[in-house]
Amino acid sequence: MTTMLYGHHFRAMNAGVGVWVWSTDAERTSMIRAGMRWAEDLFAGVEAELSRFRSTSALSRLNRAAGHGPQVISPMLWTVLVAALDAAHESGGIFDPTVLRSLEHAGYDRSFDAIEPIGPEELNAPPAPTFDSWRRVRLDDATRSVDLPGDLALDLGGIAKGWTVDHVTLALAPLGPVLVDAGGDLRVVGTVDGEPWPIGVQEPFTPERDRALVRLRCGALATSSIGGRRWQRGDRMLHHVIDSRTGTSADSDLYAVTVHAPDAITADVAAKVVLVLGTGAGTAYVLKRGLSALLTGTDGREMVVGNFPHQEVVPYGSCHCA
Amino acid sequence: MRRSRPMKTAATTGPANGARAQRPGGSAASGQWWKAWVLLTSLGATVLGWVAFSTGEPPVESAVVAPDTAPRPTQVAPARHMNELEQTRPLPPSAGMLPAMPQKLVFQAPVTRTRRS
Repeated sequence: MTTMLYGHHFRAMNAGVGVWVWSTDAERTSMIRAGMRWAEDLFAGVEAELSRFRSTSALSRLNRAAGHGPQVISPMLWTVLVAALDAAHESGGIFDPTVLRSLEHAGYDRSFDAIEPIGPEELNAPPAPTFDSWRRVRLDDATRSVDLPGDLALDLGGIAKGWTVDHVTLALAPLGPVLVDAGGDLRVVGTVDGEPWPIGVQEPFTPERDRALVRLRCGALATSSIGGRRWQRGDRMLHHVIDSRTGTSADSDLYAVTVHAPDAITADVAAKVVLVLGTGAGTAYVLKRGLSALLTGTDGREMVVGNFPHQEVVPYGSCHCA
Repeated sequence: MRRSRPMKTAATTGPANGARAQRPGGSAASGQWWKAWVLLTSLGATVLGWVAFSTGEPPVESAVVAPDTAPRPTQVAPARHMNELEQTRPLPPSAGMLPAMPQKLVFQAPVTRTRRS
């Protein structure tokens, strides 16, 4: 019996995506390859449907139709939007899919690669908080339609990625132990002889390094950080994690958060919520939901919350990981 | 100790026969042949005994590496199989395969990493 590792890498959703499947059955080769092609197609399909950067996407069409009454939307958009609104409810509105106007106001109005690092000296208007605005999004199950108020616009970027990771992982799981990683949001199902998947956790302040090794037997990991997508406006350094309570970039005591959760959607949402809430409320959020996390403060301190499956947390700046 | 036991038995068997000097018509060459036969028999018995007593040892390829011996982050070597996978790409029809992986999976390095988004 020969164990084989199948791997496939491609780019989607402005991130590198990796799919790995272990198999001991050589006769499954064609099935696994077909599964990986399907996975790439699905990622591309979700991006085409749910990207806010594509004017032809279903999400962009819905945002343009805001204020024009109920709109029938596609099953995929419906599924992810319902998941996003559930997450907003579950997080008390800290996770907010309606922050797009705030995000654009802060300068993240195009693909991040196209953002100018230094923009206008001043923001041309004060930010508008959207806290609890998600409650004004009306859904009609019977017609699968959405009524989006005219002052709101949706951003489903992170949660759409998490949903796709979950979807692909579960779909490929019958072929063997599988790992799907989309830009750091990843999930595993199954192990080979109980051997966990070793996953590096990026060093927040020195991204080329890993600061911890997670040995993952099941579930998902997601990392959210204020260090990656940031730009300057006037005298302020802004980033893409918006606090819906203020309408601008979150300003907590945390720099990066990695969450372990049963699925990628939960991990992605929790990482963002904890990053916005900060250490105190963020820790309570993690523990209340039975999750675990690795927190990094803006001052570099580390905190492990819950039963985070790390093998070792490496003190900041003390190791290199090839 | 076990390996030497067959050798001892064979060595004591030869002189006990006493046939070498008393055999009628036996030439010096045939005496040498008898010695060679005894020597080869002894050697064969030794090898057979060694093999028999060695069967309890696991073959190398099925040895199991305990999980706690897995490398720490500071010790991990580059992901050999992953590098190989990358080097062999692109593989038609887009999926790579590594037939040389060990039967018992032991990762030598992180497969991937969770990173800021």
